[in-house]
Amino acid sequence: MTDEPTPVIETEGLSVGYGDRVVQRGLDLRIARGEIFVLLGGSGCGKSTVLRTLIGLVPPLAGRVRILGRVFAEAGREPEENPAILRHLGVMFQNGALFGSKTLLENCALPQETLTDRAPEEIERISRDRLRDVGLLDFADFLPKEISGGMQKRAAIARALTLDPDILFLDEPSAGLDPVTSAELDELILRIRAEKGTTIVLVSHELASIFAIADRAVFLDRATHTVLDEGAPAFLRDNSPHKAVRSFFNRTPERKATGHA
Amino acid sequence: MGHARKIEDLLETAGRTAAGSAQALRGALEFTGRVAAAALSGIVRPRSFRLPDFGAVFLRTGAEAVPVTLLVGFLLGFIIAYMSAAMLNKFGAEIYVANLIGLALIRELGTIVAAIVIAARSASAFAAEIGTMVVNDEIAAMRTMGIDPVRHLALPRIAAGALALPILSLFADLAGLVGGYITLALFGYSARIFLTNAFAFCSAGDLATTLAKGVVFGVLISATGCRCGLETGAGSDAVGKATTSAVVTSLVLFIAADGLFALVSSAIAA
Repeated sequence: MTDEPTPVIETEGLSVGYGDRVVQRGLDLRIARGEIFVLLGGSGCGKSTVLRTLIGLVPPLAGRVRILGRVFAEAGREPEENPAILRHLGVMFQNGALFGSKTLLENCALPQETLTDRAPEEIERISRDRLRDVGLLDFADFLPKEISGGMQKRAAIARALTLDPDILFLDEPSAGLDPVTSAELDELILRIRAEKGTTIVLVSHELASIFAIADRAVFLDRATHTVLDEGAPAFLRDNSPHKAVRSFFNRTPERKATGHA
Repeated sequence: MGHARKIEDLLETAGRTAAGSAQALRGALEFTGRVAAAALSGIVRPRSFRLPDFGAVFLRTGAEAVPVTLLVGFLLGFIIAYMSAAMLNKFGAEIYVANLIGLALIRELGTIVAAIVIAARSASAFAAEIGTMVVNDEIAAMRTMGIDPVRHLALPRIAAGALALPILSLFADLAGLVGGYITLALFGYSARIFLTNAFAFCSAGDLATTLAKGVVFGVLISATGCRCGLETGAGSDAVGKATTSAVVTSLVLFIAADGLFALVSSAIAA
């Protein structure tokens, strides 16, 4: 008997990649309810591939993914729609991935129309509420191309929140945003967690953002295709025994970081 | 040693090609199965069929293609009639141009004109639209929302193509007949004589066959466009490749299907 809470996301011996190319192997992640968890590492280390595997878009090469205690993805099993689990997930892709032909309001309505039995009036009310939460209610009838990149990301978060998900996956939410917009997005993420207790898994390169919001991070290594270290971002920055991890957090090229070892 | 290596390379290439073809065939069969399942679900639960999307796509695929179909059909009828008349006129048999035009258009050319127009305009558009959605992660977003892209995107487009193509083929027939008549009018024949001869060798069965072919070609061409779009890879040139592949594959497929129709028709007639 342990005091450790049941993880909302758990991976067992998870290997991810495409075809014969293994990007990361042997991942045993346990992410607790209400945690803000960051996948980080250098470019090309497979952060986004791991995220896509967790949300069922890329089949695992080995191992399995459990979400809310149920097997969601497993090696050797074709990816399948699992509405019972999808209903609890919200996803924001790197570029927002809003449907270009639909207004923000329609974008927010779509997942509810598919995955819930809500009445049309309720769907509209919830869609407007979520757009208000991210400060975009006045833009409800705009098409994605009519708003800025930062607003598109906020709209994508609003869409992801319409199902009141237990888990929110965010792929590089701050990428390409100016520091002020990025800080606003960080505040929004913290507010979502505080108000709804949502577990948030994100991929990010933005150190300021990682230090501001993350409870825990795993550092994925491109060279060894494995997790190099895991812990609170500040702890990893100051205490990681791995040079690559400290170099990442201290923004120093690895070859010059020997003095810090 | 050198020969052994060459044979080894040849066998490896053959193996890879065979594996690639088998994979492509498997993909095509899987897609066909998914479309069939989505269509069945649309029949069983009509409310699941996205009627507004179908209407919008039908307008773009059918109504907006009418002018170009009329133009191509008219020019084709005019050119065939003119060239045939120039030849048959030497034997005083130019009136048979009407029979030739009627038979050729209704049995074959009208449908082929409509199919080419839809392959060029719509298969490419479907592949580009859906391919762009793949590149922008919109399809991935759909999957995370439990939305089946085949049911949501492909089915309305395939249904629109299946309905639009036979209708457009009738427009092409009509325009071709007008083009043919203008040629014969130059030789002094009246519209009544032209029409009597144009339909002399055609039966209701010919019209039914041409409409059935139109539906089959419409399904093949639209489905190819959608499938190429859904299989778009990563990178900036992927959408271009998907679009080219959609047009080329759909042209080859519908011509092959037309050949099959000709064989079956001959066998039935024999």
